[in-house]
Amino acid sequence: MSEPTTRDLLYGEVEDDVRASARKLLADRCATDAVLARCESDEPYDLATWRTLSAELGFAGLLVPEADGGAGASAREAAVVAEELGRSVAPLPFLGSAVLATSALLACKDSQTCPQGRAVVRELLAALGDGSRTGTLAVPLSTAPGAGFPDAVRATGGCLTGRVGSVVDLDVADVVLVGATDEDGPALYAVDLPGSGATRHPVVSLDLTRRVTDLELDGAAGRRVAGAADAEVALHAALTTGAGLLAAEQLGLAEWCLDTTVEFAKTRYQFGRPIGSFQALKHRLADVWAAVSTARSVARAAANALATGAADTELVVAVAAAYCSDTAVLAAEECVQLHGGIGMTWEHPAHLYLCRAKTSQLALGTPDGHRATLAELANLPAT
Amino acid sequence: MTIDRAGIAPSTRVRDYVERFDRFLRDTVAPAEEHLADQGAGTPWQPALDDAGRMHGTVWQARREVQRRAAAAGLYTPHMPTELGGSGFSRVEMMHVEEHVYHVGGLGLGLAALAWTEGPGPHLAHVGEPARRRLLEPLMAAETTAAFANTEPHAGSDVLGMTTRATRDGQHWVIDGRKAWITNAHFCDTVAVVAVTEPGAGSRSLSMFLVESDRPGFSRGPDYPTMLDDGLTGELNFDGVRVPDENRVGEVGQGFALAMTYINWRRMCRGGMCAGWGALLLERAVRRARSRRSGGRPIGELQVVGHQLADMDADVYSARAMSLQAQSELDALGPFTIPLPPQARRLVSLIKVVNDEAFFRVADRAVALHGASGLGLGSVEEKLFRVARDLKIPAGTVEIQRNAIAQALLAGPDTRP
Ligand SMILES: Cc1cc2nc3c(=O)[nH]c(=O)nc-3n(C[C@H](O)[C@H](O)[C@H](O)COP(=O)(O)OP(=O)(O)OC[C@H]3O[C@@H](n4cnc5c(N)ncnc54)[C@H](O)[C@@H]3O)c2cc1C
Repeated sequence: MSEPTTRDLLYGEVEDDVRASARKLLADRCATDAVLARCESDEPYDLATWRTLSAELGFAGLLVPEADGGAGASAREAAVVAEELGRSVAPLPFLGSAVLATSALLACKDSQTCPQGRAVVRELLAALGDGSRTGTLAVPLSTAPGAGFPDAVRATGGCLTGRVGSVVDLDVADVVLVGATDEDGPALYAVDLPGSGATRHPVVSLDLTRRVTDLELDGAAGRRVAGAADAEVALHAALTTGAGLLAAEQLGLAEWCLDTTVEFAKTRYQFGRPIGSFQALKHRLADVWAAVSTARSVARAAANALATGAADTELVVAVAAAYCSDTAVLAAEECVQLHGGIGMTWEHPAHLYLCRAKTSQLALGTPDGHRATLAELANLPAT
Repeated sequence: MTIDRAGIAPSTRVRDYVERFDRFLRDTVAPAEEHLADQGAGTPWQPALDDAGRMHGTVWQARREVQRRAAAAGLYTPHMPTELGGSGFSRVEMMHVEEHVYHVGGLGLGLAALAWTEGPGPHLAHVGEPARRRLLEPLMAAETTAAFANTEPHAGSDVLGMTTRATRDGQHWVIDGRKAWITNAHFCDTVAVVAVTEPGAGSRSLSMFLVESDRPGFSRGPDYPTMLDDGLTGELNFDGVRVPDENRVGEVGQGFALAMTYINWRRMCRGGMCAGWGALLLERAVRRARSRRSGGRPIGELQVVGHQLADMDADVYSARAMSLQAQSELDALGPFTIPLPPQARRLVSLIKVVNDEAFFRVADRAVALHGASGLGLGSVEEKLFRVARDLKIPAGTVEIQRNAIAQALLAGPDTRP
C-alpha cells in the first residue's frame, strides 16, 4: 500500500463556476416537485434537460478531451456535477452515459488490439460528449470495480447473444457497450439501440429517479471497439471511475438531506419551540454534519486521484465508495425520521433521496465489498 | 423446532437464596469489608499489588475467608449438581442469583461468595470418584481454589492450535507445556489443564486433567498486568508434570468438549452479571443525573443526558430479557450436555455477545454521565468500564461468538430460531 500523499482538494474557481451553473439549471428544470411528478409519468428521464446540460454547459462531455469534441475537463469537475445531480436526484443519464460509457470508450481510444475500432470510439465519444446520443455500459449496476470480466455474452462474427441484468440508464441509451467473449477472448462491442436482436426489459427498481433495465441480446450486431487486455482494462477503468464519481453524487445527496433537515428543524414548531432547539436533534444533526464533512474529504480525494491518475486511485476510490454510500443512507434516513410524518408522505421528496441513497449504496460495489478491497490492498486478504 | 421453556420467574429457592445472601452480606461481608479498608491493602476491586504484581495477600485472604464462610452457609455452589454437594439450580435460577449477587455485591467482597473461575465449575462433574473426593470436595467447600488452563501464548481463539501435550505413561500422564492468561494462576491449588493427547484428531485431540499445584514440574510464571489491574492473571508452566490417570476429567479425547462446558458456563453467567451490574450503574447514573447541576438545573433535564439514561435502560432491560429467555431455553436443551446441540451453542453465544456489547455501552454511558469523577481511579464507573471492555475478550471474543452463531444457523434445520 502506498503512502497517502497530501493534495489540494479545495474546490477551484472553475469547479465553483461549474457548480453554480449546474445548480441554477437544475433548480430551474429539476426542482423536486418536477422530479416527483416525472416519476409517475411515461417519461421518467428528462432528456430535454440532459440535452440542454450537454449542449449549453458541456456536462455530457466533461471527461472527453477537447480534441475529441468534449469539454476537456477532469474527474474533479465531473465530480462537482455529480454532487449537484445528487442534490437534485435529477433523472438524467449522467452515470450511464457521461461516466460509465464515456470512461470505457476513453480507455479504448488507443486500443492496439482492435485498430479498426478506433474510428468507432472517436465517433461515439463525440456523440456522447455533445449529448446528441446517450450510452451506457452493459454491466449489472451492482458490479464492483474488481469484478472479473463478464461471461454472460458471446460474440460470433460480430453478432452478440446473451443477457445482462439491471443495466443503468439503458432505458434511454442509443448505444450500449457490451463486454463479450468472442473468437479471441474478452472484447468490447458497441451495440446500437434500438436494433434488431436487442431487447430491453424494464426492471422495477426502488430508485424511481434512476432506472435499471435488463438487456437481452439475440444475435444483435455489434461493432468491436477493443479486444483482450484492452477490453478488460476499459471495463475496470469505467467501473473505478464510476464508483469514484458515484461517491461524489452520494455526497451531494447527503448534503441536500442535511441542509433540508436543518432548515426544517428551524421552522417546525412542537411544544412551542422549533424542534431544532431539542438537544437530542441538534446532536443527531451534528453527527450527520460530521459524516458529510468526512464524506467530502474522501469523495474529493477520489475525484482528485481519478483526475491525476494517481498510483493509489483504487484505494482512494474504495475508501470514498465505502464511506459515502453509508453516509448517504445515514443522511437520508435521518432526513425521513426528523421530518416526522411529513417525511413519510409521497408529496415530500425525502423518499426519493432515501431510495436513491439505498440503491446507490449497492451500486458499483457494496460498502463491505469496498472494505474487502481495502483489506486486500493493505495485504490483509479476507477469508 | 420450538423449545418448551420453563418459567422465568424466580423460584422459591431463589428467593430463599437471595434472603440468605442479603443476610450474609450484612452480617459477614460488611464487617470484613470494614476490616479490609483499614489494612492499607487496597479494595477488593482495586487491590494493592505485591512485588510480583499479584493481588495483595491481605485482599486475597479476605476473599478466601468470604468464600469459605459462603460455602459453609450454602451460598457458594448453587450451580453445582446436588449429588456433588451443590444446590442443582437451573440456569434461570442461577441468572436470578447472579443478577442479585452482582447488583447488591457491586464490586465488594460479596462477589467472592458465589463461585466463579476460582471455584468448581460444571466441567468437574465429569471427574471420577477418587478425584471427586480428593480434589472436587475441597473446591466445593472453598478450602482450595481452582484455575482453568486452556489458553497458550500462541493459541487463544484457536483452541485446537494448542501445543501443551499429555503423554500416557502406564497409569500416569506426563504433561508438558505453557499456559497463558490464566485467571488465578498465582494462587490456585487445582488446575484443570487442557492438553493434546491425540495430535491431528481435531475436536477429539484434547483431554482435560486436574493438576495439583504441588506436583513436581508445575510452576507459576509471571503476572500479566491487565487493564483489570487485579493481579490475578498469569502464566503456568508444566514441565514433565506427572499425574495419575484418576486425575483425568471425562474421557480421553473429550477435552475440547469439557473446555467448552466450562467456557459456556462462563458465557451464560454474563446474563446475570451484566443485568446486576447494569442495574447498579443505571441506578447510580439516575442519582447522578438528579443531583448534579449544570447551568442552574439538574443535568437530567438536559435532553441528551435523559436520552443516555433511556439508552442505558433499553440496553439493560433488553439484554436481561433475552438472557432469561435464552437461559430457560437452555434449561430445556440441557446447558451442559456433551455433545451440545448447535441450537444450544447458538443460545450461549447469543447471551455472551448481547450482554458483552450492551454492558459495554452501558458502562461507557455511565462514565460519561459521571463526568470527571466517572474517570477517577477506583470509582465504580471507571472500574466497571474496564471490566466491560475486558468482557468482550475472554471466554471467546465477541467475534468468535458470531462465528459460533453463524455456524449454528448454517448447520441445519434444527437450529432454526
Ligand atoms: C483477563 C483475562 C482472563 C483470562 N482468563 C483465562 C483463563 O482463566 N483461562 C484461559 O484458558 N484463558 C483465559 N484468558 C484468555 C482468553 O480466553 C483469550 O484471551 C481469548 O480466548 C482470546 O484469545 P487471544 O487473546 O489469543 O486472541 P486471538 O485469538 O489472538 O484473537 C485476536 C483477535 O482476532 C480475532 N479472531 C481470532 N480468530 C478469529 C476468527 N476465527 N474469526 C474472527 N475473528 C477472529 C479475535 O476475535 C480477536 O479480536 C483470559 C484472558 C484475559 C484477558
